[in-house]
Amino acid sequence: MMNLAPKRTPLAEIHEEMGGNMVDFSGFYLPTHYTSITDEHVTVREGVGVFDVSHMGNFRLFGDTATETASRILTQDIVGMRMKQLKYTHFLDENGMIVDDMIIARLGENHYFAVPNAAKIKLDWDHFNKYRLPGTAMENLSDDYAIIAVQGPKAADVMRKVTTHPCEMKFFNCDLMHFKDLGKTYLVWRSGYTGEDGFELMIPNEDAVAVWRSIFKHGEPEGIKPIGLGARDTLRLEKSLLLSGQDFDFNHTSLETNVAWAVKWDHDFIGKDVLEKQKAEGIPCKFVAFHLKERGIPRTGMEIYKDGKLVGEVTSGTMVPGKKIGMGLGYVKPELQEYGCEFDIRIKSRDVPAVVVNPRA
Amino acid sequence: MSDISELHFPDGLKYTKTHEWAKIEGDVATVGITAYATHHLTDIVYLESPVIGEHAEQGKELEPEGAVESVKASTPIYSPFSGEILEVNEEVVDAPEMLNEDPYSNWIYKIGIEDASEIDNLMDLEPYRKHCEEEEH
Repeated sequence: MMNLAPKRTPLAEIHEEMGGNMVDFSGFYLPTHYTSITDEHVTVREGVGVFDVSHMGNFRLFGDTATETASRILTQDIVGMRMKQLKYTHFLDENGMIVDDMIIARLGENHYFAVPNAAKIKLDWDHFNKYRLPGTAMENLSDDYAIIAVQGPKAADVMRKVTTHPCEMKFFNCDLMHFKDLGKTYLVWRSGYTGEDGFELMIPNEDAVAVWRSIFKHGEPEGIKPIGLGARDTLRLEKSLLLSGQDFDFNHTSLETNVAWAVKWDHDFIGKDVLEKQKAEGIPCKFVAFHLKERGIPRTGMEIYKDGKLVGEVTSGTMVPGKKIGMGLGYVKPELQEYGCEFDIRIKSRDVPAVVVNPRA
Repeated sequence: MSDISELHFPDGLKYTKTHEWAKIEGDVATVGITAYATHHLTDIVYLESPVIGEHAEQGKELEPEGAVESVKASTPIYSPFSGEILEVNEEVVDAPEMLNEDPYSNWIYKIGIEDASEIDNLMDLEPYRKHCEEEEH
């Protein structure tokens, strides 16, 4: 028999100790929240919070042709990456549909570390293997590493106390950092999925609990708190960051999303011909963020109407914590993509007016 | 999940399997959701108002609208009795977080009771508490 019990991350005992409301999330035993989603959301926006994102995958690519392999699979410009730089990228199937998104770090001339989404680790691994060139080795370290995300405007203050590093690198760069309490050195990315400044720490499983405790010890004066999956979703949603498997699931191209900039045209990659055709002919729909103008909450799968005609579908929605605004993400006809465009979200029997917003504003 | 013995369920109310409470006064029932429901929903951020004048059926979801929403999910409100929706607590519609604070003084709607014998399908305090314990396992 297969073991269907959710996987415990190396930090599971900590979540239980801190009072996390534990659930089975994509096969992982993780907390939805510790105190409340609203409290945790606001903590990350105004202070600093810590997430266990160990369910995310870890792939290492290396060997003489690693750069060439990454370049032919990924939509981003890999050849032009600086050492220790991170890039957000998509990779596509041969129909041009997004397989997954990920952040990739360049650690050496032909050495990369990438973090795919939890629910797609197996699929992504197979995809990379399929298009891997001779001379590229791949290692799936997903079961060996914990990832701890320290997020919020006070994240750098905390990391300066936890490590000996000045933390002056810009967002979307990484470095090795020496952790004072443990006397060990780990790879740390300056990145995150909250729309705030932050760091993501790649920690071997056996050290995860000690690193977590060290962060909380040094973060206490800043009011540091543990953050669950609920606030992780509302934080990313408020900033219109895509959720793999929900905002795209083999049904959209990169050009239809709000991150078409992750496609760089001066190299060949799997699915490029489809994107070129779509670029020439025009996209059928575009991903937007919207606020409701009246009371209500948009939810996944709800239809979007303009003058009584079906013009799109909601892929994500919530009530933004602390703001009392119903907010959603979804795809609409391209002529409705500009900020200020209006349409209606059909919520049961009501058509609730909504307006396209700039989530970064 | 956490210990439900800490949750408060007042005596003298009738309870549904779907975690509504009903306070019966003559042929009108005042309806809300229980502490078990609010505990599981956690942050209630929105109350989709039931529609006055609509007819509800015992044990069925309110139509066309009537739901309690947390940040993550929408949960329909069921009706403990068949009858017409007479009144909605606008104060709670405006500030649904009141349901988290006190789910019993903050009622949601009132319904006219058409068939008094339907009361036999509802639970008293002790059977309801047992029902909650079973749902935890």
